[in-house]
Amino acid sequence: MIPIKKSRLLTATLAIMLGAVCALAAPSSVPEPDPALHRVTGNVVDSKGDPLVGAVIMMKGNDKVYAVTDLDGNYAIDVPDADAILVFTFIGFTKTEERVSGRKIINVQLLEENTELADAVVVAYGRQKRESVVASISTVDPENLKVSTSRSISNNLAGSVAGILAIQRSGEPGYDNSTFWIRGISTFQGAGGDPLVLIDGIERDINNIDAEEIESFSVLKDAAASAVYGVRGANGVILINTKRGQIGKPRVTIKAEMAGTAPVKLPQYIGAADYMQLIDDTLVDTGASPMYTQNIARTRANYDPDLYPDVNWIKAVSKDYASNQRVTAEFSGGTDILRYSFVAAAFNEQGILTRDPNKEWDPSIKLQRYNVRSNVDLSITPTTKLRFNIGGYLQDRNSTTQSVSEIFNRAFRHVPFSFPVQYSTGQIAGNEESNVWAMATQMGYQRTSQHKIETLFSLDQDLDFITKGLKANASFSFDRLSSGTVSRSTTPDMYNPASNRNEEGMLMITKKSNGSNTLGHSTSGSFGTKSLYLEASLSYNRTLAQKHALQGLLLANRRNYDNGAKLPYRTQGLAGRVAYTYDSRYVAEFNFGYNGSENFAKGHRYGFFPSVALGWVVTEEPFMAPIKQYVNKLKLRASYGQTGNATLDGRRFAYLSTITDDWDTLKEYRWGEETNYNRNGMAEGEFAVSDLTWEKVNKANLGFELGLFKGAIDLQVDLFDERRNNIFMERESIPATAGFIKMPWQNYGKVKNQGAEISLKVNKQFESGLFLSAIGTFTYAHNTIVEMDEAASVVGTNRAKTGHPVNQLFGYLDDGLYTYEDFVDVENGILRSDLPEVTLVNKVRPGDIKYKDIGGIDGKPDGKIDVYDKTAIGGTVDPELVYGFGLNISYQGLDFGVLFSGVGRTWNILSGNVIPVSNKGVYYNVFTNYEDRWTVDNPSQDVFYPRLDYGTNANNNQASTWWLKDMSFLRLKNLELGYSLPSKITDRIRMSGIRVYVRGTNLLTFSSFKLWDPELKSTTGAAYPAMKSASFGVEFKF
Amino acid sequence: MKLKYILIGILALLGAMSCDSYLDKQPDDQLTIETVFENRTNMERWLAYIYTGIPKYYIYDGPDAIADELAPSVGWESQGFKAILYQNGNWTPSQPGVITYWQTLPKLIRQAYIFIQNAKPLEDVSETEVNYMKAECRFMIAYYHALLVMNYGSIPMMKEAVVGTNASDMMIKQQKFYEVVDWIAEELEETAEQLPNYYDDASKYGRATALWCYAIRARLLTFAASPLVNGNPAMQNVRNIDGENIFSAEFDPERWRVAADANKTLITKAEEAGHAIYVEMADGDIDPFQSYQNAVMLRYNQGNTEIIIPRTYDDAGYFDRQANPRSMGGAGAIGITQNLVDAFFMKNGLVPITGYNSDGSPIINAASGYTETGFSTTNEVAKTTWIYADKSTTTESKSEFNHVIVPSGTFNMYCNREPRFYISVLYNEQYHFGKRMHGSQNWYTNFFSGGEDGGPSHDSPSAGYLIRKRVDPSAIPSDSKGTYIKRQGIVYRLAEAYLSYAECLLEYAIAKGTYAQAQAEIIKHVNKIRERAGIPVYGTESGDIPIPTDPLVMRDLVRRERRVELNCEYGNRWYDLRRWNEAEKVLNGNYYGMNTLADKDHRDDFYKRTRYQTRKFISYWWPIPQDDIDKNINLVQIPDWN
Repeated sequence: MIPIKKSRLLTATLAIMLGAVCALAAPSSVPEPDPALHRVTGNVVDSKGDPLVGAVIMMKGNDKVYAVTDLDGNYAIDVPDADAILVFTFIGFTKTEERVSGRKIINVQLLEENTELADAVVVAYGRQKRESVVASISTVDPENLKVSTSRSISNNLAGSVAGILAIQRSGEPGYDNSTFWIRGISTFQGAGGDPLVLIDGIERDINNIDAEEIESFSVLKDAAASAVYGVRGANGVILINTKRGQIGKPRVTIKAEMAGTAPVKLPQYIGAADYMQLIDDTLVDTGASPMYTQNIARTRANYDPDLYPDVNWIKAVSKDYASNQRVTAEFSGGTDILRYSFVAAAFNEQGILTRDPNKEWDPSIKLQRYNVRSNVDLSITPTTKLRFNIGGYLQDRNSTTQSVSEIFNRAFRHVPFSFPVQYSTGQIAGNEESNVWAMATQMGYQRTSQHKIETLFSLDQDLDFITKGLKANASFSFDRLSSGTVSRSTTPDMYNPASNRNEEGMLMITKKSNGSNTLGHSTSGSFGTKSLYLEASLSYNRTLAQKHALQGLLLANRRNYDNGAKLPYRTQGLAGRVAYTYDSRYVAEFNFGYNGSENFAKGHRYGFFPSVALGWVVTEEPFMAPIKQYVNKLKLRASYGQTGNATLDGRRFAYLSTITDDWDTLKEYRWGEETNYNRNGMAEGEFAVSDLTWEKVNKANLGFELGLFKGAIDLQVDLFDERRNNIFMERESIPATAGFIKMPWQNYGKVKNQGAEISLKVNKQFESGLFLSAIGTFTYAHNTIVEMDEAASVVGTNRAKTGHPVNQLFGYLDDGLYTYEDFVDVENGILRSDLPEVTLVNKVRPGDIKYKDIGGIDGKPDGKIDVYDKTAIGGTVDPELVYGFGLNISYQGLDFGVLFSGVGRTWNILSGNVIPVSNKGVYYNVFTNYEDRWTVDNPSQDVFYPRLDYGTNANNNQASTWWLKDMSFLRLKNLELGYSLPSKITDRIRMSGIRVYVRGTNLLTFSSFKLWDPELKSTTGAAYPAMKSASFGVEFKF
Repeated sequence: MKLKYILIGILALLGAMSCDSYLDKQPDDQLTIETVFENRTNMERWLAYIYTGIPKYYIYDGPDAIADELAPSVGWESQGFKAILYQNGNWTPSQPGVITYWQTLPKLIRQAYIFIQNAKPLEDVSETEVNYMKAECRFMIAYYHALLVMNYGSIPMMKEAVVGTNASDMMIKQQKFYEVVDWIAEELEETAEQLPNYYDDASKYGRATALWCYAIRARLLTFAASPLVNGNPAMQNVRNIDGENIFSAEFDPERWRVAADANKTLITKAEEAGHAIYVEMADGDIDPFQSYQNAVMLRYNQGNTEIIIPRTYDDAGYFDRQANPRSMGGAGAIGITQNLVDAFFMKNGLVPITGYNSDGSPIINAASGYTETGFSTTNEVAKTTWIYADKSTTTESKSEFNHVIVPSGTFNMYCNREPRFYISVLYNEQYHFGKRMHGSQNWYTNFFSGGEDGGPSHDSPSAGYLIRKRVDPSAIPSDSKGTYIKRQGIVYRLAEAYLSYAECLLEYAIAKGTYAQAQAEIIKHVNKIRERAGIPVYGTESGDIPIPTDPLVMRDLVRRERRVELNCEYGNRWYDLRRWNEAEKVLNGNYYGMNTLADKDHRDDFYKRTRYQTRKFISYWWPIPQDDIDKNINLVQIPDWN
């Protein structure tokens, strides 16, 4: 708890914020009573006794008579009949009816609906009652997505959503989005692996929406859920709907949050003297002369830092801390005619790159994003509704002219002793690795501005006059994204590292290259993207005779996506659904998508993607009635169906042959006595594949849902099996001698993907006012390549990729390190005759990694360690397992939340560059665990590094189980403590709520891998680190 | 009623969207094979791509570096320099490498066939021109096959562009070496008749001519006559999928005669077309310094008629940067081996070092006057306009003919060597024109440890030498200056034809026992090289070096002449070492250089032969990439790589 008296900062913030919004918090006025009418007043509160603002009170049978509660939950309604029935409704709460019976004051406590059972689930092209959902769909409370201070909500998915495997590979502002898959990877082609993300039904980027804009978040996983998306549904679909206004007085929420950030983990490297000593030790060990004797002594003695530097390059280019800030404001409200919701968000983030205070310009990373969204619903007539959404964002990024990831890469691999950051005399030295500090601070800056507008115009028409329950809808949307860059680049004079000092003590330094020394200027813009979307649909939704619930949908859509390519990308399709529920017990559903893609020739253009799903709500059976108070939900469901994919990686109009003139592939040639007759290459490109058609995925899903103790415990388990056929791929078995520049495409590959998801939610409201909720999610997906046109002589051997997951890691199997006993002649590297000969390197020595001979040209061990001995090791770099668990407790005004998320079944093979001094001290640093290695004095097998060589050891740097590391980790993703001021206080200042909170993100990480943050995909640790943060926020509600 | 209209509207919309024409569109700018060849520029672009396969001349991670010639800094290994991996024997068929012809050339061959099939005369492309272009394609097909067969030994022939995409149709098998060679030679001979000796249009310089055909034919046939492939018992384990031996078991001396004829044809045709050994004169005599330097620096239109096949698009400026000392903005790391340093003749035309002891120490030919102890006490002077050796001269004094080539105080190893030595080798403490022009405090190379051009930085010569040949001596990389930047690569120059011709004659004579009769013709062609090199010729006149009576001694001299003359050019040494069956001996074991760990305070220590690398030789043939061995079940890997 934070006592207000003590928190001056809070009071100050409050005062400012209040001033800013006082105009909005206009006092509610109560009209004079009409004597002919019977006036009822009262107060509407929730189960905690807090007022409900915007609850609607309506006279039953006459919807012209209604009232809405004000900021204090008070209402006044004039009813013509003192015996009327009042209906109290509020979204998320159970509808309550009260007979007036002459009363003047009616106070009502509304109970929260058991949301698990009653609320509507956002499904493809519509909503369904939760109990009748038979497809596999995860829904997430948007509050559960606000678990970090990150710009991108994709970073908040891991562990929060069952069915999503997500991992964040970088912390670079603007490029720190997570990679995610729904139910894992089921294709080996670059394209066609990403889930479809629909925001308000339109394909949009998940990373640039603010979490505050989100009203609902659903993940469609099986064929029943996504078949209607046909062509685009193969990889699962995420449906996000943005907030819409509700009938009621204006409601305002303002939130401000500021965070300090720091890298989750930076690798620890040894300094200059130790590094050089290690080089010398290694040289001596391999029979050569030491090189650095004098340098080591002088570096240790700090004799002349210009000549004998010891630089921590990461420190030189980065700050220890950065920060980000976020302010959001939300306004919503409305009447039965017009409902509105406005959300504005500002996000500001600084990176950890440093700047040179001597330069007036600033290349450090700064990112600002402003989001706005305005969603308006207008009831033109009682049966006609118009929706109008406009949203968008503006994102500005200031950064270095050099690639930030390259700067980090270099900062991590620059060695500490080659030259100082800057000589004491001011010159900047660099070698072939250049000078990363200069790259970061001396080469100018650039500003990139990106903006996007997103619109949706939609008309809903009730067609009850034709038949009850029929509706029609037409939607139109256009989105436009564009960006431009202003680059102010410059280059400094660069010098060769000083070799010595002359007699006068001046540094002997020679110029390497002349710089430009003034800021240049260039601008560039990109076409960006533009998409138009048109949709029309008819839907039917009716329950007959209380028992037969019918749902139907027929929808047509068309999309035109233009990214500046020669022609825009086009798709069109039809989708439909028929669902029938008998007595809330038996559910059957049929869905289909029928889609066309321009990628295929006429006749192969359209694909039909059907799915069926069946469900049995056991708890609705009469025989379950006795135990229904304990088991409130038991549902079994199954689905089977097909979805498709039409996207080819880098190939369009595959039925046409092409001519290529791609310079990167074909280059140019010049003739002429003066080399001045220049022609860029041109050649045969792609082959026409006239029968290329849909990639199809057959998906089966079995689901089990259990609710216990009136929904206090909710468990959902799904098992899935996906078979993807006809995967587009470039043929893999055609030899180079065929001379094809591009390998022909074909519907060839097959991948199988299986797994399970579990989601568990616990909600418990105790009498004492303590509220406790816990969530747990678990997602596991494992895929297997069934067919990928692998070379005939490889299939079935230990080298085969077929039969393993997509992107399976391969390498040798290590058998420990060679010992002296393994050699007949150590000097000449002659091994005992019973050991396999090593062909990877000219000779091995004790302490080198020993590999197992498992294969040969004919598939049998051949007494040689060669390429035929490689095999699948570990699994894949992308995790197969993601899980999360969290707990939220609130008591009176205090709330506490904690969320852990973890990944498992993820591996990586460390690059040979992590082997100390294998790059001869030219680049790559030495980790502090360098002493954990095989040496003549420590001939241990239980070491991190094998024997070291000065230079590449082509035996030890092979991908092998020796370097295979389990990158599983568990993170304390979010830790949050909040305090809401009691309504006594907020009432007095005419607010409906104030909450302050502190939050920590990524505070703890548990992993068996210690050298760097295991979430980075890097094999060397050289990457912009992910960030942890500590933040403070305040939230005002009016 | 209003609602009905809305409904009708929505239904109409649904109806309108179902029409298929929405997806009925195609790119309007898509070229097809047919339309490409309706346009002159596109035809030339097609041809340009086919030409890109001609190996680059200014390349330092290529064949020169895996022979005993170029020595890129061994520190560059960590920056992906493949040649160093190969030198160390850390090489497997699954790693792409220094030579990637297997992956790249079939693509070009296929495009050449497509050109031949589809090109036709156009309004602005005459029938003659189309026929020339088709013949150029035919030349390229043959040339690329020649490159493949000289590197991989056992290759399938690509005699057409595969139709269709059925993988099993493409599993072609390897052919016998001589079947491939004879087919290429025949193709080249026929193509030569379809092509002119030169093009009148200056912009067409660099396009294949009849002389190109003769040159590649001569080079290939010389290779094919050589001991590696001509009756080599060690090659009898190389077979194709049918179990046929790829290489002939019988030595056929006629192969040498055929090769000699091919070289003779080339020489005759080239001389008829006005090609000659490039010379510059100084005060009435051949200036060997300028002549040898500029034979590989100047373009044809600058008077360098020695060039027979140019690579008109090459990257000399980058090469200069990598080769020049670090302190003047270069990368200072393209070194050369001590082997090459030792190979040069003395000024008196004699051989200084005849071999090595097992500890790497040289066996010195005392008669040559060579010594590698101590430092010189007098200036060595030569008559030349070559200004790059003498600190006392600058550009302005180019007319002087009395240059100090080697000032006193130079390590004796580098004294009294032939002119080609000074054009080819940049040794420690040598005056450096570029460093002086750059404004360095020190005008001499400083390869000592801690020196501005030396270690421990990896932008330094590992063996203590940098390459000087083919490097613009006036280049100052830090300022992007230099006078030869726009030079072209040389694929074939006339000197090679003379040396090959001499060698073929000699080998045929050895096989037939007719050395005495052939001697004069052999000597004549070797001497053409030595005259330009400015060293005594073989002969009977006074001052001449006596002609060896033992043909095997003569063989050593011819080979050495070739090694020196063509050093560090276009991988010639890599092919020669292999075809002479010497690679296993030369490219294996310890490699020596100067002691680059010595600092300036220990000057004498620097000039000690020191091992800097141990090499391992694996095979005479480049491995077929594992990928293709896996895919094409009809291919057989060279046994060394299995």
